Amino acid sequence: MLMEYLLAGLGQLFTFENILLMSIGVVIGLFVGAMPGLTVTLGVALVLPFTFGLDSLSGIILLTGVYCAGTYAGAITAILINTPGTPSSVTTAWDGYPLTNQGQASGALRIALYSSVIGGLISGIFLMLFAPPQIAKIALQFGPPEMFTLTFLGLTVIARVSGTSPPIKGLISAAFGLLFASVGIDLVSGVSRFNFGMNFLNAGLNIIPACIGLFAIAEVFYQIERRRKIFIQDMPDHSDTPSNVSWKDLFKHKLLLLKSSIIGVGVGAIPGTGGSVASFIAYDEAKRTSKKPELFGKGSYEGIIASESSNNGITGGSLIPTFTLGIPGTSSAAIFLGALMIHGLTPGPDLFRFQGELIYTVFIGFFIINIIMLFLGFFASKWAINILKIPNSILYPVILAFCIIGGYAIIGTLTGVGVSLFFGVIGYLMLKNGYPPAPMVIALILGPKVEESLRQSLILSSGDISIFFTRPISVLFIIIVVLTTVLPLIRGKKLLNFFRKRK
Amino acid sequence: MYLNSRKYIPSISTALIGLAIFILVPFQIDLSMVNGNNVSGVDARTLPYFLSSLIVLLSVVEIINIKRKERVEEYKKMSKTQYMNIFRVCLTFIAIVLWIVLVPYLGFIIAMIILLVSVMLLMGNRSWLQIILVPLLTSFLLNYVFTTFLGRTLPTGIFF
Repeated sequence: MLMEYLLAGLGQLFTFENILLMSIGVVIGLFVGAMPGLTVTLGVALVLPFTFGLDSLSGIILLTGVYCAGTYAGAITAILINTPGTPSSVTTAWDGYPLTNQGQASGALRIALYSSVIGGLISGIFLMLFAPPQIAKIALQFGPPEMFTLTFLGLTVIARVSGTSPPIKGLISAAFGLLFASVGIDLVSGVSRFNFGMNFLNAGLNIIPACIGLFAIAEVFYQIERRRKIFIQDMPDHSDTPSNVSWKDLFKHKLLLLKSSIIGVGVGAIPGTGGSVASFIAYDEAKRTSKKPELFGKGSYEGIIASESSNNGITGGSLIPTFTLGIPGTSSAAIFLGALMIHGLTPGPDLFRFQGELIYTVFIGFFIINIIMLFLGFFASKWAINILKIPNSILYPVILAFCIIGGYAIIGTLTGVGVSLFFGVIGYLMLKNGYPPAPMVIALILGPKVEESLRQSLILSSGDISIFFTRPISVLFIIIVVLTTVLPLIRGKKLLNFFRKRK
Repeated sequence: MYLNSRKYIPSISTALIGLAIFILVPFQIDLSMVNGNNVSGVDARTLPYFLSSLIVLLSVVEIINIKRKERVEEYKKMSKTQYMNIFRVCLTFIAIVLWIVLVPYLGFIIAMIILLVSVMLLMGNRSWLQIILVPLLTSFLLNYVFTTFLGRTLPTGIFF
């Protein structure tokens, strides 16, 4: 069955149209990833409306291209100008920029690209082999209590997706997200909630206009306030010797490469942990086990390998819970989830039962995208600096135009633009006051599932909450909730100390 | 006094919004139409009540946390430039609202050109070539891609 799917998938992907779409996705991803201030999430949200006119496969591989390439591209500016394009490239800058100062920018860029591609490919293997059969089969046995404890697990993640913000602010953001998710007709009783007399709110708030507002319009407002004209005026003048770094040099560190990629996959598969956590852990681990730890922070190739392979290992890892359980691993994955639903696909075990061929084709596409990224990444490292010279007064108005058309296209009425603008204002105020938007997005997605499964469970047990403690899978999730809440606190403290030392 | 109290504004605001939602629940969620007994003990109002209370509680905790750290942080008075920058954000917001109002009359292309020109000017762009070319290219290109390639309908106004 698997082989049939794979062969059919290969046939579907190797068409001119799909190769072109994957390449376009990679180019857009390289652009948004390389621009400090533009995030991968923003890129995926803005490209999503362009998938409406495409079939499901073409739309999803286009988004996958943006996601994978955007995750890598942060390394380019991290290495060249010490400005990470994405938060997960911070550790790449620690060693990449010193290498640039030593005239080895080309070598650093090449090793970052190779490591990212290998990290992405390894995560693709995990995504293909481990996600569907095991997790999806278990998910088939889920009733409302299991679904509640699972979605509750997704919600406990929320404090951890707060980034540098205090966990309390993450929880407040999530609580508002759950409240926004409750807008519309209550599915259990049929009662309308918080519609304020506006009929369009009875259908609930659509997740995609909300994401466009929270991540893109908010960023436009923020940049208008900052009034920075351009990211860089001129490229810093560093003498650069042509790179003689090859695959051989990379494979000298094959164990480090494998270990860091697996760290990326593992961390990515735990909802809410994110790329920056994976790269910090992998960097820390690489330094601990290196024969030359003194080089870390002064221009170590090992540091770049660990950071970039773990960073791209996240991409496949975060899609595992998204596809199999419908729980987004990162904010980008949350938009992926929205994209799947827009294209009529229901994430979870049914996705593999009824859309197996499509999903396996997407998985193969994941590999091809990483290979395309290898070729286009070479060009990107040369022109990335030039895109930083685009004036903000051109870039952000154009992004705003994409936001508005995206908000409109999702519903086909101006209410979508209104919802995007509403969330844009909220996102801007949150950004200004240190409230992270990612917990709000995850809560918006999980909210209806949490409430529905909780109420169905309590109806089944006539209000007795012991139903959650008497079913094995439900108990397992409760144990995981406790473990995943306590362990990161310990590990986080260690990482925080490590990060403070770096500062 | 003003500078010290400014840092409490976000948390006080979230607490007040939480409180407002709590008060709004019975007005916005009408249970009088629901038939039958509620055996589960959880109804359509339970989660909103719980969440609004949680927001108030967490905001109060955050206020206490800020109070504890009070000595460490110093708040500077906002400069005139900062006020102007926030004013520009407000103008951008108004420009988008006007776009929503005007697009049924002007159509997507003209309304988008006007919006983009306004935002570019607000962001300090004074190159007339850019101010003409960027909005024109963006509006026509987006209109073409969405209507021709993606088969979506965009708003048309009086002109086209």
